[in-house]
Amino acid sequence: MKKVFALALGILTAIGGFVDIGDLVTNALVGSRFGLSLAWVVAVGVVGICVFAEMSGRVAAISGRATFDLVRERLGPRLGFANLLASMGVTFLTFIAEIGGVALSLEIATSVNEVLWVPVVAAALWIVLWRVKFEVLENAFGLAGLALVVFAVALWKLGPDWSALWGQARSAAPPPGESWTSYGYYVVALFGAAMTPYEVFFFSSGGVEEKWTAKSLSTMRLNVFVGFPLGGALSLSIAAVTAVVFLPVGVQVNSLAQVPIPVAVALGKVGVAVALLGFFAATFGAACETGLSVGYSVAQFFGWRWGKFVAPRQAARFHAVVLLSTVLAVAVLLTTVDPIAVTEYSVVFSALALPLTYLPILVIANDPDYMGGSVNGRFANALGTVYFVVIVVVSVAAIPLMILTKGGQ
Amino acid sequence: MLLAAPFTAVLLLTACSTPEGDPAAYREEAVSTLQAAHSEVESARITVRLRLDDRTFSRAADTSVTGSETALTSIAGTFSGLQPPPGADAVRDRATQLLNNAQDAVEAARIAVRRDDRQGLRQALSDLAKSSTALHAAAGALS
Repeated sequence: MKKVFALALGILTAIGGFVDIGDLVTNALVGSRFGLSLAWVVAVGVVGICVFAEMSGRVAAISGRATFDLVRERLGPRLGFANLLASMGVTFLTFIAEIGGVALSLEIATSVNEVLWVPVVAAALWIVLWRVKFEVLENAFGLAGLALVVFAVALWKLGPDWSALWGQARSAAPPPGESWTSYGYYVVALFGAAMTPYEVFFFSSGGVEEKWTAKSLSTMRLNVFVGFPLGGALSLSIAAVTAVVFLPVGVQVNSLAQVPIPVAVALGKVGVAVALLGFFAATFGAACETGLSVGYSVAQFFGWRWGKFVAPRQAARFHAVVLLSTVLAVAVLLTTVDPIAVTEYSVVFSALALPLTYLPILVIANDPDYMGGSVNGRFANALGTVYFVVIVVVSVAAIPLMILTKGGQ
Repeated sequence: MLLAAPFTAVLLLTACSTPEGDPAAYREEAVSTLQAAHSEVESARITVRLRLDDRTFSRAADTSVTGSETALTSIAGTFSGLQPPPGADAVRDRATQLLNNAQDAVEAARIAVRRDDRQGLRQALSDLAKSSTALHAAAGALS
């Protein structure tokens, strides 16, 4: 019974923890502009993150070491350092966006300007990262993030024309008035949001923190193959409600405050309250994950002691990196930069950095020296290779599309 | 080399000057501005409707309408900063008038939402609906 409970908890946490500020904003914006015509990108992205999260989880369980712990050793210091800079840069940008997202969630609930919330959020975040146990942090925010199921309930309550929604999802083309270049730009953004690099850093480092072994593989795979797709379904329900409420009247989502409006239309105040709880949990949970991921990547690369499974005093440099990134993130947000703009750029730059994140995972998961008999099978390799080609294409297209469309306009 | 330097200087100077603009491009810019303004007005209209029906919280409605107001100010400011090409004054005047009306309507909505003034909310709802219809029609007529 205890095992079943742990399994259910893991899956629920994976669902609730899947959505972050990038998914919230990008899916709402895409739904309001393109309907469900980009739903296929979410599906492709979810399969991709499942493929690579499973590989990185397997590497952690078999070798007992996380991704960046092996990157320098396997790729050499130069390529490893380039990899560290790109991946950490994108994760730090995502960290800024997540802190901004928490502040925006609090602004919606209180009407107090988000800039004033930023130092408060950062202080709370640092205390949580310093004091709270890893399992508590992961489970509490993952479970509270399940409040975002309210978007699926709202979709059902709105009673949409399901065949029209299905028609949009099947069309895989921009609606009238939208160009193919804008459509392409949002393909990149949605793909980047679904496959954000920090997700695999956190997943594999979390595996080491939770002391996974070969026996943990089946549980890990259930979390990935059940939890992540259901998390992806949550993302799609956000796009669907904005497609139903906003697309017909020509409203384009450009702020987090607009995202709960369809829930209010369907469910009233109770729905809004639950959605705001979901926003807070999803963004705060993701802020914890990205903050830790910045610390994980640097500490693992340089071979320092890291993680929350050791006392902070024993992993002082890891905690110093986390604290420094938190202070820097606050400094950036206090310039009054728009957190939504940071989020939009973070998902596109995530797409740009994807090959550097996912190539080492593919290489290490194929290395019998690390993996023994648990190296990638033919199916995992075929999927991993196909996805790597897709990742390279998306990465190459990211910047030209950003320039051509002036950031998706 | 002697010829290249003044040529480069002329190129740099012309790159820094304000372009006269192409009437078709200006018209296109006006259409996208009106569409963006329409999006903000519609968002504010839905929010005010929800507040009147007591389906959302006052603070959430305030944040949403204030966001629309800020966005609208930026949209109108960007458009007014564009240099209209000769012959495009009518387009500019019409668009500017509609943008001013939209800003007034959203501003009134924000005041009513913050005061939780039901009469003000009803009036704002009506003004926002008129502004939304006018923006939509003008964007359609120009495109």
